[in-house]
Amino acid sequence: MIGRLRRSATAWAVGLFALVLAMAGLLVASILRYEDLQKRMDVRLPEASVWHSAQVEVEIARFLDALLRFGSDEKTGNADELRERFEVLWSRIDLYRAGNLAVAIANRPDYRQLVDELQALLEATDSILDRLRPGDLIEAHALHDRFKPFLGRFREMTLQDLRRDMERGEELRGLHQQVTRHVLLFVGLFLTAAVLVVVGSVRSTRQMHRLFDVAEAARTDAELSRFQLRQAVESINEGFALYDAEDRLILCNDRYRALYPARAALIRPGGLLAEIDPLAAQRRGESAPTENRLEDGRWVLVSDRATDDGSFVCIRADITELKQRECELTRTKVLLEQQAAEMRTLAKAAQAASEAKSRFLAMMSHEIRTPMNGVLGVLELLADGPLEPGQRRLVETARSSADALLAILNDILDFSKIEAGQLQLEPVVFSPAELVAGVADLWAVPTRAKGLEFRVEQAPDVPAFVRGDAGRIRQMLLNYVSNAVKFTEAGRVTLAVVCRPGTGAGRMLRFSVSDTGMGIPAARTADLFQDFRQLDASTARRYGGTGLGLAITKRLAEMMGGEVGFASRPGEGSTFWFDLPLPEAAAPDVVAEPVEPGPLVTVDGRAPSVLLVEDNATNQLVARAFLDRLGCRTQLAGNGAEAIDAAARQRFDVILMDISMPVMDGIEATRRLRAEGTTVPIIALTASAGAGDAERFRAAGMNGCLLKPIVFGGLRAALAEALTGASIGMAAASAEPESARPVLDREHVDRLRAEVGDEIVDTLIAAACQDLTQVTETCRQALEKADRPALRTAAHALKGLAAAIGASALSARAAAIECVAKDPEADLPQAPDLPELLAATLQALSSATMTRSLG
Amino acid sequence: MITRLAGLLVLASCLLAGQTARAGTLPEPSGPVLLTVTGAITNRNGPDGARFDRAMLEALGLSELKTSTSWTDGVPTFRGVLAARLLDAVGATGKVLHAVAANDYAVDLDADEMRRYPILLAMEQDGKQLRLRDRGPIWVVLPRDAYPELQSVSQDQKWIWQVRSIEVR
Repeated sequence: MIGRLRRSATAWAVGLFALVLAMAGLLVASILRYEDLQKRMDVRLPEASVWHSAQVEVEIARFLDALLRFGSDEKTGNADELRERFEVLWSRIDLYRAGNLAVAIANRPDYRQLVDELQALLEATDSILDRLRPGDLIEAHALHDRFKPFLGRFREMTLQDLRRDMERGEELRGLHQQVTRHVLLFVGLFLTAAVLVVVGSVRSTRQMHRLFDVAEAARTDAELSRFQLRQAVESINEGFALYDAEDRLILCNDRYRALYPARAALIRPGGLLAEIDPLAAQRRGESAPTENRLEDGRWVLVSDRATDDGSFVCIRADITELKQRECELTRTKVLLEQQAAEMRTLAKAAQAASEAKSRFLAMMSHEIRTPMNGVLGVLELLADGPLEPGQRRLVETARSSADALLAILNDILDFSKIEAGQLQLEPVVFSPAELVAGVADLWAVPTRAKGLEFRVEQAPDVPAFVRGDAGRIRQMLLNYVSNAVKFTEAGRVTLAVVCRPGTGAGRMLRFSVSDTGMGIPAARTADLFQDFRQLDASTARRYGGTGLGLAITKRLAEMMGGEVGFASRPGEGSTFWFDLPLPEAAAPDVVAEPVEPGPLVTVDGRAPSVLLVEDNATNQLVARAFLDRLGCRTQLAGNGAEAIDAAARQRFDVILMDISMPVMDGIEATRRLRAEGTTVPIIALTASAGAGDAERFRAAGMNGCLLKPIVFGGLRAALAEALTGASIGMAAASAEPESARPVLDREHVDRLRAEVGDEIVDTLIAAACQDLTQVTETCRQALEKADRPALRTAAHALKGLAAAIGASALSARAAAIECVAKDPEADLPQAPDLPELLAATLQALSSATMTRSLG
Repeated sequence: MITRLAGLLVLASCLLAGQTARAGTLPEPSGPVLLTVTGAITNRNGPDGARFDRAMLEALGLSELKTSTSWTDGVPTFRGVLAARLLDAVGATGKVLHAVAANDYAVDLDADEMRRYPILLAMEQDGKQLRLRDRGPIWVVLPRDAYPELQSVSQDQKWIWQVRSIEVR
């Protein structure tokens, strides 16, 4: 719009300028013309000369008239009159000699010629007139004749001038007309220009109005924009202010004003940032938002930013409430954290209590088992002795009760282990067929004794080898079988293993035990597999058991990723099963002795009774833990003499005999036992199985030898062999180089943990630390005293003790000392490093405990 | 003192002139009459009017006027009687002066104008008496150099020379 107006105004101005230029040109031309005219007008001499020449003619005529009158009459001839006429004529000619007239004829030679001739005649006549007599007609005529031609000549001049004058008049008229035309043209142009100016000014006024309109519209727009901007600025939730590059306030909203009530007077357009908000002025240039606390305690979030043109935008968000909430949140958080800490403490306490309970339970079971073994031993002795029928019945009842009690204890021990999460599966490669066969073998005799048929069924598609915890599976199967046998009065018990449909990893092996017993009442099926449930109190009284068997089976199956179930028809029988995902495995390279970590049973299905002869507390603990796990009833004897007493009181299935003991060593005790005619298998426990030792043990009447430290597998194998009457191999000693021994064999400790559980190992380590310190001190004292026998005993004890806990280096050192002590010729070694070694061992043991508790 | 004396002299001459005018009489010309004033005048020295010879005119008091003219070269100095003085001398009452020359040229002059400007009835040019052949003996000379309004072409006709008589109308 403005551009168009500007272009139009420019065109108009150019037009006007051109017009003015034309007018100026015309004016100049007119002025030149006019000057020309003026000049010509000024030359009025021709006009005057007409008059003059005419006057000269008149005066000549008058003079000639006077001359003729003077010459014709000598009386009336008036000389004064003649002279006057002459003088006047003279004065006429004289006019041509100076002034304007002289200029006029200057360039007219004919005129000059004429004037000069007349002048000459007048001068000549001047003196003639003085001499002229009145009546001298001849002379007068003569003069007359000389003047007369001048009449005609001056008339001719006059006519000539008249003609010239007329011509000039024409010319002047022409000039005049031209000037007039110019003037008219000029006036026309002037009027045009004036019209143009008027039109132009009207137009420009209109354009001005339009410009004003545009400007007004723009101003209205700007005001609207400003209003909208202000509204927008007012409507935002934050305090907003805009400062120009010189930090003068341009605009702000009420919220901004409200933030600085103390400086409200300063907050107006033009107000200085430094006065309104000195902090922001200092921070100009930083754009990171900050939180500021205002004088009245409110909090604002300040986010200031400089714009590209140097302006400064201030945004203030009132975050007082946010801050308060934040404070509250912080307080709440602290409270919650306190509560959480309390909860954690409580949870820890609860867990600790639970663990303590589990530990207590495990320990109690453990502790109860020892006297139970005693009770069973005594009962067995009683049963062996001569009894009246009534007494025998009582003894048998007591025995079965004690057996039941022991089973309950084992169940509780297992269950509490599962509860405490201490039970770990030990997957191995095994043959399902062999496992089932083993269970069948165990129960074949008792089942038949009850008059039941025992059948084993195996589907042809069951893999030859699978991977799984064979020991636990065996335990589960035994649970089912023992229940089946227990609750079936007549008919048969069938043990079966089949493949459940499924592929790959989903392939399940189903182990099932069916019976033809009384079945499960429909109302009670829901309670089966529940913890601590039995069908009813009467059943419990009649059949005994904790009811934990099924619960343990269920838990174990679930641990293995499988499930349990049953089908029953009351009065017809039941089928209990469990499905396990056991991946098929390749046959092991060496068909090792089947690992049977499950409880051992005697040939007649009882839990084996074992006499453990061991003087050292640590070794006692380890052996007992293994034996417990193997389901053995263990009795303790501190030395050979006690062992002989115990064996005399009770019949044991196996005796585990330490060799080196105070009072009476293992060799001597075995010799005496054999001498008394005892046939119980005796297995030697020794830390030093030298080449000759095995022979020595056999000679004394021992059936086998277990190398200390005792390992679970070895103990189990030895016991299993002893229980089945097989011969037990004498393990050969394996002497490793001393230097290679680590302070603590962590693998050994880990193995122990896996085999007997962390708790027992920790207890073991605690006890070992005490024992090691004590024995090492004994050893040191013996060295000091050079008491060879004492040194030998102490070193031997230390060797075994250290080996049991995995303190290989200390064990090896002790073995070396023992070796020297045996030889009377050898110099006794100085062993200043013993305490050091002990300290290192203790530290390692302590850290092993720590690591466990931390892990 | 000198100024006052001059003032007295002027006053005296005025009184004298006034006395002459009031007397209504003009002396008889003793020499040849150069100029005759007739018509509406109060002072005469004959039945036709007031006749002046050279001495009478000179007695009216001579003034000088230096001016260029259309008929002379250079700037001549004229000497003669101021027209106003002559009119006073004759007691002219008319508005128009009808002047007639020896060559019968006649022109009407405005009496007020004659009084308003120092217009001269010149009788000498550059110290020499104007003869008839020199446009004398009396030539009306206007102070055209001093008054631009007297310079126009139309003013030239008022420069009547060889004046013989003036009739006051």
